[in-house]
Amino acid sequence: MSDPPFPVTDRDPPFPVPDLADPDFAPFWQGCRQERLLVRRCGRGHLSWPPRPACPRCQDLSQDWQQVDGAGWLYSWTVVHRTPLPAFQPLTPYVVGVVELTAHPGLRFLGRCQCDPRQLRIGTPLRVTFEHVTAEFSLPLWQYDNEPQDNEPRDNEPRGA
Amino acid sequence: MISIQGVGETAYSRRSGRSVPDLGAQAGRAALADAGLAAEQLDGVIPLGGALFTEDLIAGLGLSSRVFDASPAPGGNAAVSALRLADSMIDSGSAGSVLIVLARNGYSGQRIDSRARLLPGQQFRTQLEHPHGWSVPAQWYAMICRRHMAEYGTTKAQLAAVALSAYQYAQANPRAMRHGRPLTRRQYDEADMIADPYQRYDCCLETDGAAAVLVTARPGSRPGARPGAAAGERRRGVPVLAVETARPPSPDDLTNRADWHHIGLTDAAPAAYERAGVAPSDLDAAMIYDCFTFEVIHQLEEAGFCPRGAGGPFAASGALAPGGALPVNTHGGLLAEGHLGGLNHVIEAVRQLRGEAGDRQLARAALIGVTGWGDWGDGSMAILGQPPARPPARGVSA
Repeated sequence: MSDPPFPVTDRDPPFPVPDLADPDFAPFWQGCRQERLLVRRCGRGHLSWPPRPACPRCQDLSQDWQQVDGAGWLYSWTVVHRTPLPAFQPLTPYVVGVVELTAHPGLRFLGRCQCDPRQLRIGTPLRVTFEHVTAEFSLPLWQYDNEPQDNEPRDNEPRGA
Repeated sequence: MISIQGVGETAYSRRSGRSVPDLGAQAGRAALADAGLAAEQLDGVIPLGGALFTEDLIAGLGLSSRVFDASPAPGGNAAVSALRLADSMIDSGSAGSVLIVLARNGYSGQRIDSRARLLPGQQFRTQLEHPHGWSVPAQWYAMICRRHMAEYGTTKAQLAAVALSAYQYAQANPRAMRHGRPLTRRQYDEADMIADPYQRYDCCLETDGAAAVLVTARPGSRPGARPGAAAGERRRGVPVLAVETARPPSPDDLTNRADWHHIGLTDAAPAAYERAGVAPSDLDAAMIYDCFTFEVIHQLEEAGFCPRGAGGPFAASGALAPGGALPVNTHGGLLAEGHLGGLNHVIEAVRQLRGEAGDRQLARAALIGVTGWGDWGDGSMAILGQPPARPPARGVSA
């Protein structure tokens, strides 16, 4: 990965790192360490997010994880100009978006987006990238994805606006 | 069913200089006095706001140690859903009269960013949202507004119409925090950005204060009602014809909700109309939970006052403002009167229905709808007043 797109480390006050030992989320955060985006998969193969005690479609209780392709499109967004979270105050204005995965309609992730706040529109192609915030914690963020949508393996080199 | 026998409140300010229990007791006393009910007769309470407890009301009002209490789910929907809970308490015989009190120092004390951490779904908040700098309602609901703008063409000018209308009403309401401070379109446009598309005047106020509503059984509705009901029953009682509450799909997570515009109100409003035997067009006014400008447009649509996507043009037509087709939030609402969790919306409906709204009194106020909204889209609707004499006719204006 090239330069971190978002300067979230080495900040005082510290970044609001989630509880990485939370049993419902630990596999997800482990996946992020390996730059893999994981979602829940029930015994009947339904994918869902965020993790819940039962599959939201069929109530199946057997929950596994599945890696999904990190290509998506901007479903909605806000540009935050004022935040009560001290760690984020130096970053304003920043874009937070909801991104729907292209290969999995209806499956959406919230995340900060490296996008020009003046150029946002719903449908903008985005791709997940992972910032390694600490030695234990990596955060999925979203960047412009100008690559043609296909299934070929390729690197995640960021594309400018 | 129940009726509202008394209402009361403290001053609304940014610095009350008083404790939350003190504020709650003051509003409670005002509502009891308004109802003509002695504190010893009160046998049910619903404390709201996150920092007010039954213990505070027992001490502050001198209530019986056997007072029955219950709490609705936290969040902005609690004020209207508390009416539903009070109805249940009275109908079951658990209480003869119920005092609903919301008290908080919402500006000088516990502000919204800390109150948001009392809501359900904190696991999702801390795991998936705070690490992205997304942590308060202005940021959450800005996302819904932006989606609506893209799907239906809703505009900032339409949001402005909601804010300007609220400030217009507040000028006729001496209790409103923004009384004497009218808002111009230019001030609206030039205000600080908070969470795009929400600027300062798209966001509700933060308020110190308390509000209280006293309910009892409706006359004749429960022959076995406890004594408090009969003692509190007075000619000015305002009937609660229906009150329904619901949660949205995926109630603690917005991101993966299939249809972002489907909220609790989408299901609660039709149930309330059916129970009351009325249609949206029968209502003379509406008090809509206006935490943000777009949420007024959103709820007008989901409550059936106009089709989905038509709420913005409806607001821009002047329909909500003084003299409009559907006066909305005639007290100024959370945007311009104060944020009392929407219990001030219930109080305003009562005052309008009693004809006690002063300079802002509506020419016709027989039937008023009140909505609640909170916590990612929990929603409710109460219908207060007298049912229309004629059979309801959906889609025909009154």
